[in-house]
Parts: sequence; structure tokens; C-alpha cells
Amino acid sequence: MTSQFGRRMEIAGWGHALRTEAEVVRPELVTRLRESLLSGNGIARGLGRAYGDAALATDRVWQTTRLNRMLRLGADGLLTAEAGVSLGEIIRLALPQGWTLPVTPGTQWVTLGGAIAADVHGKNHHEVGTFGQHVTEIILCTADGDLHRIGPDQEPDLFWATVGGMGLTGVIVEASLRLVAAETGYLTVDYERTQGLEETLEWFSGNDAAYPFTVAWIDGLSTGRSLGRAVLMGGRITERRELQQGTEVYPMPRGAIGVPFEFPSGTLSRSVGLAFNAVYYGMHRPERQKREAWWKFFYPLDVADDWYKLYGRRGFAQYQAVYPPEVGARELRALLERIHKARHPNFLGVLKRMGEGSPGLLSFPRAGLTLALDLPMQGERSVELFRDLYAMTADLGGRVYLAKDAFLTQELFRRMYPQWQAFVHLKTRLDPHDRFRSQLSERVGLSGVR
Amino acid sequence: MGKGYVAILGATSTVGRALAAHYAREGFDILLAGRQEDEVHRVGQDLATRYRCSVRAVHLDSDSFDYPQALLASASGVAPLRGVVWALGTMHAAAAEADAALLRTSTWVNFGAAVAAVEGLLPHVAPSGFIVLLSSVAGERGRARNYIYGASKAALTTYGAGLNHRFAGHGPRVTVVQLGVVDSQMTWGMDAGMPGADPEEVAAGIARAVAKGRSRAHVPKRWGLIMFVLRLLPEAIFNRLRI
Ligand SMILES: Cc1cc2nc3c(=O)[nH]c(=O)nc-3n(C[C@H](O)[C@H](O)[C@H](O)COP(=O)(O)OP(=O)(O)OC[C@H]3O[C@@H](n4cnc5c(N)ncnc54)[C@H](O)[C@@H]3O)c2cc1C
Ligand SMILES: NC(=O)c1ccc[n+]([C@@H]2O[C@H](COP(=O)([O-])OP(=O)(O)OC[C@H]3O[C@@H](n4cnc5c(N)ncnc54)[C@H](OP(=O)(O)O)[C@@H]3O)[C@@H](O)[C@H]2O)c1
Repeated sequence: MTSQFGRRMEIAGWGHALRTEAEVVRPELVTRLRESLLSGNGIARGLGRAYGDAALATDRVWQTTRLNRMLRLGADGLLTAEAGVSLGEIIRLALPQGWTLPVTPGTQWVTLGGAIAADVHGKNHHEVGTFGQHVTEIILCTADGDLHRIGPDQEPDLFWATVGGMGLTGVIVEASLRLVAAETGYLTVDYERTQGLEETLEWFSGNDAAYPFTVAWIDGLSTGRSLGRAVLMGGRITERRELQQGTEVYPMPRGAIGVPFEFPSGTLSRSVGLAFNAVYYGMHRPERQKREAWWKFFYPLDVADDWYKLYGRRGFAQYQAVYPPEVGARELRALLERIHKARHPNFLGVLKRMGEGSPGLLSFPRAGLTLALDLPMQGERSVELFRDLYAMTADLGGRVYLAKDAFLTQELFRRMYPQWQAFVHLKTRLDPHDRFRSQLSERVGLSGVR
Repeated sequence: MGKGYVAILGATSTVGRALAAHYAREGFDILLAGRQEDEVHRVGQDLATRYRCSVRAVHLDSDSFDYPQALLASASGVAPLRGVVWALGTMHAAAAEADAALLRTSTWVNFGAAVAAVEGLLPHVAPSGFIVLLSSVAGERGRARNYIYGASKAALTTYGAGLNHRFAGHGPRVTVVQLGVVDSQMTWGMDAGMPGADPEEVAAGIARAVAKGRSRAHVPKRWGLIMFVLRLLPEAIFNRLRI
């Protein structure tokens, strides 16, 4: 037999603040994955874009990146592929045939399996819901090594536990996704700038109905009256007839520029952050009907495929939370001011109003505002800041995104995800020995203690 | 009309699959063979979906001398083949010299089966076609760690050289590829002493060697130099190296 064993190596969450050593198994065949599942405990891992420890385990990690066979792309836009294909590959395959992803996160370098397991959301969440809501079928390998074919109408309990289930029900081997038609590979975008938080929020109220894609990049560092000032983007897919004759209908990007080495910790100091935010804010003058290629609109951060290195050895963490609809400017201001009070550097912030939640038991999205902020790790004071932000979030009735999280306690997790009990109930039945476990699941009590 | 079929024997191999993708991208249709039916079928679906080529997937066992006959019987209309790639190979963690069953498997899969397959397919290969044998740098100088594997690969290398001599420019071109370490299923988890090369780049390197009509090629190229030095190393020094 070919070597079916793993390699002991260091792996990290995307923020690189959390690292661990694990036995990484990288199967290229379904048969090999199943063999290896039966002989160890651990968690699935895709492209490792989860910021914290969702894809970290101390024993074994099943890295799916070579389980990446495209299986079918029908004339009806139904795509079936193995879990390790990346969304970037899907777009490159499907777009020239007139199809695109129904939902995409802010990077194309996540796997199909990872997008389902975190039930990711995009700039169009208010219109189309989460990624998982466009998945028609999953083939899941469970703790006994069996393959289950599940979908919204086929073992729906297991399906909605797997969608958003952070790998804890098993390893997704393959999935079918309903793609949506795209007339072109461009977006027509309106940019606007606001002077403060209230104005930013008003913009969403006025424009969510007008654009399929909306998002605000907020300048996390500005204070006082300009706190919450933002560059707002509202976009829609450009129609074919808007393109000039001879324009490439489905353009494709050329290679990514990497950040070549790890900067010393602290490179992204407060002043650099300030400058970056100011540049971004300054760069986007109000503009209407600007035409942008798909990757520039959806994946501005992918221009450097390892920009996390900018944060140095200590890495960074992201705070992303969603709050109930009644939470508004006053509460957001308090959260941002808590960061400013600590004089803690922070990077780009993203603000968006989400639509209704997904049926996924542990899915993050729900109706209300979501705020995401990158924070470079600076030891204990950063941890303290996160604890405070999390407590404030829980008190507001909000919740933190597990795919970004590195600090949630079991107690706070249970407050934020009231369906945890139903999930644990199902997991206990399906995986009584907790074969599937990650550092995240151990931390928040989804495996081990219960 | 496509460019004809390239046969990939060992469709589930990392390098084999990368080569299949390479030739599919270049406009060839692909004949796949392997012993795991469902997995071979999936590789075929992948090629058809990504590159929209025609794919025939055949389920076969390398343990029989009927290999080529069975292959052609279940895939009518693929001949004359434009190319044949031999990608099967097995490297055991345990010492194959001490275990009769392992010894038989290793010499058969790495050498005997290749001869059986290639000889049987030869009449169906276009005279202007190509044959690729994936051999290994392990066949260039015996090392304590895997000399049964190495010896079988050395036999494969010599077989390829013999074939080329036999055709002497009239008939398919045979390229023996002496692969260095590739980041594949075979080497994952093994301590190969250095990171393996990317399979896609390796496939491109192999295809380049084939296009140039090379009878032998080190891929990645730097292995030519490494092996040059290693072959010349005096025994007194070589024997002290634990490589
Ligand atoms: C720059 C950037 C922007 C982002 N923007 C967004 C955004 O806009 N919206 C959003 O929702 N998210 C966003 N994310 C988060 C990202 O989409 C998720 O973390 C996603 O899960 C990462 O996928 P991955 O393949 O890297 O999975 P990993 O990070 O490797 O794993 C994430 C989780 O998925 C599980 N998993 C992975 N593969 C499988 C499988 N085959 N079977 C079962 N479980 C599996 C893992 O166990 C783990 O729990 C962003 C991340 C980055 C780095
Ligand atoms: N990877 C390297 O670093 C390296 C270096 C030098 C040379 N090579 C050679 O290059 C070729 C491809 O290597 P790779 O890394 O792609 O290997 P791989 O992924 O391990 O694939 C090996 C192939 O051989 C088949 N195989 C193994 N044992 C078999 C058996 N007993 N019966 C039938 N089929 C068997 C496998 O089929 P199943 O999938 O059904 O098991 C698979 O298709 C091999 O000849 C290898 O020796 C590789």
C-alpha cells in the first residue's frame, strides 16, 4: 500500500496566533480517507482559512486539499465536486460557462467543504442567505466510516447539523451546489463615503433593497464624530449588453503577489493601521457605476495570498459578531470605543446588515448587523480586549462567528448558540466517542466534557 | 476530431493524475486504468468536467498478464494510442527483501507489470506516439533504505533503454523519467529529507522531456546534478551517509 499515514507538522489558524502540532493526513482518494478515519481522532481541514482553532486538532487532521476532483457541472448549473476543491477553482471552471457561486466569502481560497462546514456568508447575504442554503446534497463520512448521502430533504437533521457544523459531524467528502447564472464576470459598483456611524447604518437601510451585494469597509481607528466612517459598496453583476463590443465577457486574473517573509512582530503597529485605513478610505472616492472584474470586487485581500504575515510572528485575531436587529449605532459605538480606549491597533473593519438566519444548528448568520475587525495579537492585553468585547456581545444578545473565533468559553458559547443542545444530542448519537474533535470543539464544550 | 488517446496506467497515482490533466489540457483524450473502480471513475469525471475531453476509465488489476488485452477489449476505439504513461509503483515501508510476498509485489508492480503492459500495448501505439516510464532516482544507486524498490526501478530504466534501442528511431519514442522526490501520496508522511516537487510542475517537466524526444530525463532537473554527484561518490564516503 502507498503510505496512508500522516505527517507530523505544525499547523496554524489563519491568524497564526494559534498553532499546534498534529498528524496531518492528506488523502487523495476517498478509500484512503476512510481507512484513516477509522484509526484516529481529529478534524477535517480545508485551506486553513478559519482564523482560530476550528481546523486545529492535537491528534489528527484530515487535510482535504487533494481530495479535489470536480465530478460534474450540468447544463442546469448544478456542480458536484469533492470537498477539497477551492471556490477559486470553481469560479475558474464555471464562469466561462456562464455560472458563478451563489455565495462567496471574502477570499476565494477556501474549500467547498470549509464553506459548508462554516456555512459561510457573503456580501449578498441579505438577498440569498448562506452558502449551505444552496447546497443540494452532501456526502458525509461519519465516525463509523460510512458514507451518508444527506440533503435538505434527505436526513435533514444531519444535513443542518453538518452545514455550519465545523467538521464535528464528520468529513464532507463531496457536495452538490446550485450555481447561479452570471451574464458577465464584472460587477457594476457604486461607492459612497460616509462621515460617521449613523450615516453608515442609514445607508444600509436605504440601499439593501437596491443592490444584491452590499458591504461597508469601516475605518476602525477614527474616533469621535468620524467614528464608524466608511467606504460603502453596492454592487450588481454587470449585464452583457452593458459591455462594449470586444470586451472579454469572463475575465480571469493573473497570479497573486505574495508577502514574501514574516515581518517582525509589531510591524502592523497602530500607526501603520492608521495609515492603511486612511489610504483605503482615501482611495475610494465616491463613484457611480464603476465596473470591476469579479476578483477585485469579491476578493480585494487575495492580491497577496499570505498577507497574514504582515502581522508578524504573534499573528492576529478577528472579532466578528452579529447582533440582533434592535442593536444600532449607540451599541456599536460602545464596542468600537472599547477598542480605542485600550489604544489597541486594529485593521480593516467590515460592516454589513445580514438577512434572515440559516437553518444550520450552529450557523452564524442571523438578521442584524455584523461587524468584523482584525486585531493584531499583543499578548494578554489583546486577550483581555477580546474577553470584554465578547461579554459585551453576549449582553447585547449577539453571537461570535466560530470560524473566526479563538477565545469563546463554553459558557458564552451556550448563550450565543441556543441550539447547542440539539447539536450535542445529535453528535452524541452519531459520534459517541467524539472521534471528530477540534481545539475549538474542546474549548466550547462540543466534544469531550458534556 | 481530438488528438487521440493517451493511456494513463495507474490513474490513481498522484503523478499519473497530474499527467492525465496535463495531456487533457493539451487536447488529448484520456484512457485511464487502475484497480480501484470508483476512484478511477472519479479521476475520469474530474478530467471530463475540467477539460471537456473524452475519457474512458477501465478497471483493471496489475496482477495479470492479460492487462493490455483486457484494457483494449474494454476500451474499443482508442487505438492507435498517442501515448502511454506507466505510473504504477509501490514503495514499502517494510524491508521487501525479507518478505517473499512484498518482494513479489514490489518487483512485479515496479517492473514486471510494466513490461507486460507496455509490450502488450505496443502494437496499438501510433508509430509517432510516445511511451513514458516513471522510474526513479532510487534506481541509480542502491541505498539501504529501499534497494528492492531501487533495483526494480533500475530494471525498469534498463527496459526503457532497451526498447529505445530496439526501435532505433522507427517507432514510438520511449522516455524514461528518473523522478526525484515528488510531493505525492507515496512520499507524504515519509521523511524524504527535502520537500517534494509540485506534481503539476513535475507533469509539465515530464511532458517537456517527452516533447523534446529525450530518452532519459531527470525531473525535476536539479536531480540530474544531485545524482551525478551521488553516483560518483566513493563508496567509503557513500557508505557513511544515512540517506
Ligand atoms: C480573508 C478572509 C476573508 C473571509 N471572509 C469571510 C466572509 O466574508 N464570510 C464568511 O462566512 N467567512 C469568511 N472567512 C472565513 C472562511 O470563509 C471560513 O473560515 C471557511 O470555513 C474557510 O474554509 P477552509 O477551507 O479554509 O476551511 P478550514 O479553515 O480549513 O476549516 C474551517 C472549518 O471547516 C471544517 N471543514 C473544512 N473542510 C471540511 C470537510 N471537508 N468536512 C467537514 N468539515 C470541514 C473544519 O473542520 C473547520 O471547522 C474569511 C476568511 C479569510 C481568511
Ligand atoms: N513520488 C515520488 O517521490 C516518486 C519518486 C520517484 C519515482 N516515483 C515513481 O513515480 C510513479 C508515480 O508515483 P506517485 O508518487 O504518483 O505514486 P502513488 O501516488 O503512490 O501511485 C502509485 C500507483 O501505483 C498503483 N499501485 C501501487 N501498488 C499497486 C499494486 N500492488 N497493484 C496495482 N496497482 C498498484 C496505485 O494504485 P492504487 O491507488 O490502487 O493503490 C497508484 O495508481 C511511481 O512509479 C513511483 O514509483 C515516485
